[in-house]
Amino acid sequence: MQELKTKTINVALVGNPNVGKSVIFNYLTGIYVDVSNYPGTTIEITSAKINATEEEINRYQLEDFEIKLVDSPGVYGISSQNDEETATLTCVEQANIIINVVSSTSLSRDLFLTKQLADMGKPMILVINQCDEARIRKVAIDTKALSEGLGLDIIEAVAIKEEGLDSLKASILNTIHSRNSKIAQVKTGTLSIAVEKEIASYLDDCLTRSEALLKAENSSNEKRETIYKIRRQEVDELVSKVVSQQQFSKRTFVGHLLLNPIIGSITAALVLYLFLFQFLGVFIAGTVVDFLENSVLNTYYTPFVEGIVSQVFPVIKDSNNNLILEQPLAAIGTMLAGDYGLLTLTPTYLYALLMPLVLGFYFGLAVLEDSGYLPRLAVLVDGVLSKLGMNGRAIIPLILGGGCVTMATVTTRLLSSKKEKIITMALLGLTIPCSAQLGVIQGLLSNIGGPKPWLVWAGTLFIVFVLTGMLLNKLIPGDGGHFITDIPPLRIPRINNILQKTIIRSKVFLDEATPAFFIAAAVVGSLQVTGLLKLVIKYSEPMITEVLLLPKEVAISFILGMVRRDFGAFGLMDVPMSDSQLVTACVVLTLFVPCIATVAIMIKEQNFKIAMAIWLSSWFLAFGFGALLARLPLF
Amino acid sequence: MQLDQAKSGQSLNINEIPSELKSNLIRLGICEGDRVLCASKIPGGPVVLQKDLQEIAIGNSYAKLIKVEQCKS
Ligand SMILES: Nc1nc2c(ncn2[C@@H]2O[C@H](COP(=O)(O)OP(=O)(O)O)[C@@H](O)[C@H]2O)c(=O)[nH]1
Repeated sequence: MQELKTKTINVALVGNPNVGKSVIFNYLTGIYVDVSNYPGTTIEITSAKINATEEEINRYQLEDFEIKLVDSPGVYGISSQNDEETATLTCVEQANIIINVVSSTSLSRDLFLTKQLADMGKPMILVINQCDEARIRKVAIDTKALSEGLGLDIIEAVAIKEEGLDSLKASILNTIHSRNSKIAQVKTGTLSIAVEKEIASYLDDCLTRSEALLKAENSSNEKRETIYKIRRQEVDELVSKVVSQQQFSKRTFVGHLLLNPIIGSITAALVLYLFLFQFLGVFIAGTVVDFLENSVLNTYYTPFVEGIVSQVFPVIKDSNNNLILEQPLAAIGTMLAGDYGLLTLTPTYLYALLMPLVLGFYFGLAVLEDSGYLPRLAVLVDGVLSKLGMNGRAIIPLILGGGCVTMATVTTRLLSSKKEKIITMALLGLTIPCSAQLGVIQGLLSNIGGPKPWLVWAGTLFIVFVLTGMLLNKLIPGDGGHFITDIPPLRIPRINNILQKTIIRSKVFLDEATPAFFIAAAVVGSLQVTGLLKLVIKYSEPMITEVLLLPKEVAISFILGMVRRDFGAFGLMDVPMSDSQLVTACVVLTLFVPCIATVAIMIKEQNFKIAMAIWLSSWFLAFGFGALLARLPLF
Repeated sequence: MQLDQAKSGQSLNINEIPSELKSNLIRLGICEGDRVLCASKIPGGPVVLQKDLQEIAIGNSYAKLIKVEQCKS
């Protein structure tokens, strides 16, 4: 019998964002990855086993070892300044060996982190990746001198062409071997004498070097600055010695155009239109969802489940009576497989509607991210968003909101200040239509025809967006967070990388959101079987007919819209309305309360009070603007 | 002058960075005394600086706090 592998060696990939860590990770580990959510954040940490061949196991004596590779979030330094840094720090502390990946095109920036890692005194290998880009830009790097200067083994790589990755694997295995057998010294990088002096007094009280280092760095601003300055000087000196052609290069023409205020804005509008409207709204939310919902789930799955449930419990559709009292068994059947069935409608919603949208969304986002477009977009909108109490980074959740507001609300975690988190969350909940809704609204508005209904709808939302942002910016104390970002070069995205990111993120999101959707269905289901739904609808009718001047049948759409935003809109299709009424209904529906799942996430991310404040104000905004619009002679 | 007044295409010397920004910018590769190029300026928005092969955008509110000087090239 084979002996159980006993010891795990942790190898951590650490580096700045966009240096090619994920590509290297995928190459070294193959397809079986674990994704864990770093506690309290959306930061995913991927890890997987490095599989050694029979021959490698013998050569490096790895029989008793399992090698785990961890891909840490990209950071510029590890000082717990944000969630990513904290997560990366944890990875580094748990690692037995560190693989530090840097880019050949930004050595002076990237080596700063290398120095910080070296000061932690762990076995380390340096990978200089993206060497093809250095060649194109005629940057030559003297790796021998660099290796001596840093006291580290260096591997040059072009990850996307798999160049150098075999030597990296050999080097990792060899390091493990040296470490285990203690036959050779494992390289940990030259410690900086000047930094050493700064942390000397902390070494005695701390268990590990890294702990001492962090304590020293965090002890005071001056101390941190001193240490950082030493590092920066050492790096700059080294870089000037080993890198030739350190001069301003002509940056690529396209990259330049995208940062031009006018051309950049036009491109941004076009990209967002194609992505949010054509790809997500029309293709995914329309064609794909339609196919899955009607031709697959409602044809095969739902009738099948309904069949099974109805053999045990009676299922009553379109019932508004108090079933709990009248027919308790039917109440159970209806909860499970009725109009809002936990076993019928909820899985349909999750897998036919939400999953394709989320996949499509993360796919588009990964393309924008890997091509290097996202930071450029953030730069373009920063000026505008800062007037609304946010900064450029908030564009990411705001775009995500066009996919699924629930998903976007989770992402507000990535923002730094509480103020920008709350403002972004409020704007998402109030004004951003999710793509499920966008699909339906698109159907309604194109019934009228012409660009006018679109302009009225979008114009109203825009006004509400700007006014709410400005108001909240005034009301909430503090500032909206400042904006400093590194802009990576534009690159052609790689399909493997994109698919991997898409699948991992979608999975993390769906795992988190699934319970919320079941809870939502359970709530409406119980309202229905207790007869409360009927009462609610009856009492809300006057609001619809008197305030919004809409037909009373619309009431049910709005009530359902509280649960699932696009739900209501489907019902609207069948109600005869004038053009003006249709536009009013679409605006009110968009502004109206976020779905239950979003509210649940808002409570989780902030608190009950903030979630309720957003929820209640959406009532006022929706009905206020709806009433106004209904009385304007626009059509 | 302040960095937010820089114009696209100007060559700049970084004279003074306020201390709350220093450590953040040092990590990205920019410190006092560096020579950089203003690669782009969005009206009312960030300034994009280029140093070596690298580009960094600094939001307007921060750019106001950084003192620079135009250098003759
Ligand atoms: N030209 C070039 N591009 C690369 C190389 N390695 C990675 N990339 C690209 O760099 C971008 C960032 O890579 P990724 O692995 O996502 O970086 P991470 O953020 O460090 O995980 C992607 O667009 C990759 O396709 C390389 O060796 N050469």
